[in-house]
Amino acid sequence: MVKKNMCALDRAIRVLFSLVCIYFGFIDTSIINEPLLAMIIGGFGIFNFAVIFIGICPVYHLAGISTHKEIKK
Amino acid sequence: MQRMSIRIRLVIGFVLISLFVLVLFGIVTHRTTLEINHNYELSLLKSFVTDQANTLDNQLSQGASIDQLAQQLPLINSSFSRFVLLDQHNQLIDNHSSYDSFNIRLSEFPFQQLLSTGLSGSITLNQHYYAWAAKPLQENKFTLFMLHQSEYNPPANARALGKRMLITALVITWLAFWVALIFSKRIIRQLDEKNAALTHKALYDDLTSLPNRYRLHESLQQLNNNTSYALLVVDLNNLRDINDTLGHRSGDELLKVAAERISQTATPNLIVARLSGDEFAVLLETNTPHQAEEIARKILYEISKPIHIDEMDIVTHASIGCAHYPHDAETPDSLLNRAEVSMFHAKQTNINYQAYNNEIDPLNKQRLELMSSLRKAIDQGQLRAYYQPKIELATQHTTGVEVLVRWQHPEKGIINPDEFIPIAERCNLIDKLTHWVLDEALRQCHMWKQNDLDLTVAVNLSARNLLDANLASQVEALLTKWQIPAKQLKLEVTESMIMSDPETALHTLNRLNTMGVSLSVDDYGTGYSSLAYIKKLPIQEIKIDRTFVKDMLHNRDDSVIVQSTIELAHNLGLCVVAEGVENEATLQRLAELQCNRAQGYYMSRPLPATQFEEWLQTCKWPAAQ
Repeated sequence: MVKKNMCALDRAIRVLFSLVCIYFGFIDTSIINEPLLAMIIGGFGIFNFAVIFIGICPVYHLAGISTHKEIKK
Repeated sequence: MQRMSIRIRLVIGFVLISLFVLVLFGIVTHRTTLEINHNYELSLLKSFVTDQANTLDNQLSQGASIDQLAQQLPLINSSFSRFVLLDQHNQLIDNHSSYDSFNIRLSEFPFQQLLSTGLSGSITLNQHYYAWAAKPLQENKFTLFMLHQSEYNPPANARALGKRMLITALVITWLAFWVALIFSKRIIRQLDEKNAALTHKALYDDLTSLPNRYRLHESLQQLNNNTSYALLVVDLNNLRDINDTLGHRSGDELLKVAAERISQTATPNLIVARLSGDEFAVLLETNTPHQAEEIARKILYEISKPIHIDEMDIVTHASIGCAHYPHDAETPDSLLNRAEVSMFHAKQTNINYQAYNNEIDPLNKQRLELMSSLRKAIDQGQLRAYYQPKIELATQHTTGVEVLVRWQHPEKGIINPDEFIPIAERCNLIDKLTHWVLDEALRQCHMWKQNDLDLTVAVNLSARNLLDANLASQVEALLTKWQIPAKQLKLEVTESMIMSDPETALHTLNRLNTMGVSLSVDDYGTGYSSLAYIKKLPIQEIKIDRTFVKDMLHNRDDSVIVQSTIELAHNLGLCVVAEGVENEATLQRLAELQCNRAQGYYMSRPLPATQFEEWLQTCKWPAAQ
């Protein structure tokens, strides 16, 4: 079982970041003005929401990083 | 800390490279885009100008005047482009004042300059970007010139492109950051694994997986001064034999089993290490002085159990040396050294266990001090000759003396030869020392001779003397110097001396024998040689060691050994001297056994010459007349 590796502050920052990504990716695409980039950024925002929801960041996991207090060394 | 810094550097490196690539990519893309747009615009402009020029050319050919054409031109102007006609000197044929309304004054426009560069191009005037194209009419009499304020705005386009590039850059940098994090983790993990493997290899023995000498050294550096420790050095005695006879694989197997037994037996230990081939070390924390010995005995017991290798039961034995910290050694380095010295001593003397003491250490501090002062002692006359009488049992007369050397040290008092002879042997002073004793003994013999006292003098030789090719000639010179017949000098050697290098020893002994010097084997019975072998040497006398003589009245074995040695020696034609006679009963018994001569404390201890002479006056065994 993979342990959770994100702390509350980490998640909060990611929520803001994801909202910004989804806004520019799907809602107001005129700023980016390029469908492929907008889709990637929007997709990243949705993916990040999923990460926040399960509490495990795959990149953190692969890189051996954790901001979660219990296993933070 | 270092791992972290490597990681941070890796991540920063990755991100910087991705940014660099993006900037480079951005610049090249931006420039290419500009160039493509510009070229496209110019080619459009050129074809448009050519079309218009062809029309005007046709009209001119059909008889229209240039002024009429100039008046028509505003009809084809658009809000972004102006057509003008130039004469053959590239001067504006000014046909309409409204031309000036197009942001610039056409009358001041540098037509001449532009047309000298070609028939199309671009120019930036008053911060506006213009493209232009020209076409000659009527074989260069006139030129149609089109100026176009470009819809294409480079800064605006660059901004749009830059924004996209920036967003792409952010996405790619972000991905690079992820990749860097993940890769750095993997790289660090591999580095750690390699490092751990290397460290393990450097500090542990491959065969037994025990820590090696370096690891032990590290542990020794961390010893606590307030705690007692013992270091045991365990040496397997017959590893080489097993390697030679059963092969190295069996030897390795033996080492593995021995290592396992030592580790399991020596508990609780701080560290068990393999020092070299067949040498192991065990570091213990000790509460009592005997604890180390108890554990050493347990190890000896466990190791002596048979080891099953290749369907054979191999029995091996070990020698263990032990040194205590801080009792025997003040520094961790000397602790290992002294434990090894003890182990070597145990091995040499064929015992299982030896705890460190000053006596066994050839290089302890006192010995080193003695070494430096012994050289002076010989020159400054600090050596004294002592004489111990030998009694002829058949006649009850004193017939000879054994000369023994003592060192009258100015501070330490009398030092026995046991202490300084090994040092003399070690620092090449033994030749000088023996020479001194021989000289002194023969001088004394000469003195006695002048007083009508005829005694043989016996001098002990060291093993090193027998290897000295000059010994015989030295003896000869001294005999001549003091005018002593060779038969009155006796030289005593031990069995072990001859055994160490029999060929050279035999050569020297033969020369001495030919000169007429009589030779005697000292401490007989303590070595391994048989009388039959000794008989082959050019000797005339054997001296039975004191250990047999001392208890011969009470110990049946000793009695039998003494008796049979005397009989056998006599049968071989050798004289027998019994050493260590301590009472009259022993002396009588030796006489009954027809021992030739006796020597011991019962008669007299070794005495200085003057006291010996006094003893001779009063004793029961006067000198023969």
